[in-house]
Amino acid sequence: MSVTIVCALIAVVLQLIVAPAITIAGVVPNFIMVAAVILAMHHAPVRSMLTGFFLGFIYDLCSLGPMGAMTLVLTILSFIVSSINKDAIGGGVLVEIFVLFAVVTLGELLTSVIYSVAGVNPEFLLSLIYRVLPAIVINTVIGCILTLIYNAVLMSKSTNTPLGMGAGRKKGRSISRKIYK
Amino acid sequence: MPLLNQTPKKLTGGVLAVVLCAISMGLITLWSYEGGASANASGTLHSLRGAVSTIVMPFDRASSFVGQSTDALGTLASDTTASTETLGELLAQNEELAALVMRLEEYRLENERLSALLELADVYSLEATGARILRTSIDSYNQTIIIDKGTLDGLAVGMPVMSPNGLIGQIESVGLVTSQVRLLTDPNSGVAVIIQGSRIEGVLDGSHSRLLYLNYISLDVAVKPGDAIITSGAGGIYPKGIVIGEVTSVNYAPSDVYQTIVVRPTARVKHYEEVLVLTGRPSEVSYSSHAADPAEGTENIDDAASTDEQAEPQDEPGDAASQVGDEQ
Repeated sequence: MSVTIVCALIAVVLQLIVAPAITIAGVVPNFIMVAAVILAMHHAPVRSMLTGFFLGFIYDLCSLGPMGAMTLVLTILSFIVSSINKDAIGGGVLVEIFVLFAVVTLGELLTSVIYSVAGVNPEFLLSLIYRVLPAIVINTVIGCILTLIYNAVLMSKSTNTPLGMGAGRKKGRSISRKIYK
Repeated sequence: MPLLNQTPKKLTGGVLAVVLCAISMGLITLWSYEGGASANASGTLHSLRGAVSTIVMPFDRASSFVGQSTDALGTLASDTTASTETLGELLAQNEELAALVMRLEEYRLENERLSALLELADVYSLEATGARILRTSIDSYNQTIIIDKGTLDGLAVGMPVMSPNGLIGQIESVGLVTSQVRLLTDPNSGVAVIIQGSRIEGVLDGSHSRLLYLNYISLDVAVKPGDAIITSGAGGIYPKGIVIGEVTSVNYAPSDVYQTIVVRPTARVKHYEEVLVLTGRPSEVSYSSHAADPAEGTENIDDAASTDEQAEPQDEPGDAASQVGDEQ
């Protein structure tokens, strides 16, 4: 659990400090969404959904969008990602990146729809061009980088992973204890 | 082999997912019930946001530092790659602007003397307080900035925010020590404006493309690129006569009812570190003279803003448009 908390806190700090400074064409990178997806790939559904829920809630508290919108989006994304059967699709970094791309696309579309329904995004069709498409590209690129870092730093020692990247639950627990200490 | 796991353990996850989604939707509903994104919204969730904005203030300051560092790196990169031709253009432009500022200062002093003579309240002597920009929004759908002053400094929701080059937005929400300012370029922003030359009124809306669109201007009104757009004062939020931007393109088809007018804002937030918040309500600062002569006070400033060379060509379409307006 400590690994999850540390990663989530890093994502929040990146979102609050770095993301506003690296806005590209009006699109702010969503470190929190990317972190929630990556964590969901490597943890069980219950933990993933709780992580997604609280990360989304923090995001909503710090932004001006509809309260609960990102909470809902990240809960759904975490549930979908953590429920994917690793044996059905196999494992590997490429699979993780493909899943990341697909889920980030779904997340950005869901966000745009919810913001439109809540009245915050009055130009839904324009937002698909000016917000959703660039955000998918930017967040996928960031996701690729963070996935590689996550795998390099943590997965060599491994945790239990729904997508099949880890070596087993036992080692995962031991690395968690180390970080906790 | 199924794509999704169907074990009893996952069923627990499914139940939890339903519960968490229900809570999330409850939050959205409560937020909407409290007033949603409107400026006068209030309630538990909005108060919670205000409290959180105070807690994350250190992060905002850190973000400000990071933003300045990245801007400095960008400037350094562009400066080192700038050609001598670009440098020469900028120097010439600087000389022109310096001359323009001197001329404007003369007009301002003259205007002050005349206003005092006529015992009119000066429309532009606005009560304002300076604030530092901390960061922009953390989400892509709200074009907002965070400034380092809040209710403790006397700020309130709805106050207009300006930069040295013109209006940039209004305060959307206020915490104890920080405030969120919704920019004019936000799709949810709208401001009543007039075209400086023709004095025709319209509504200026933001968009996701970060340009401004001047709406509800009929086809028979002459508008051309370069026309200045200023606030009209209608609506009571923004004082009258504040510069917003200039027309960059005008398009319409014969079957259209209104023209599609694109306006480029003169004030770009990324160019500033500080802004001015107008703390005096518009009714206090402008409408005393508005009753006496609503157009004249503004036109003095408008004339001052245009150079002698620019004034002549601008007058013609302006007059033409006024005549069209009169005919209507």
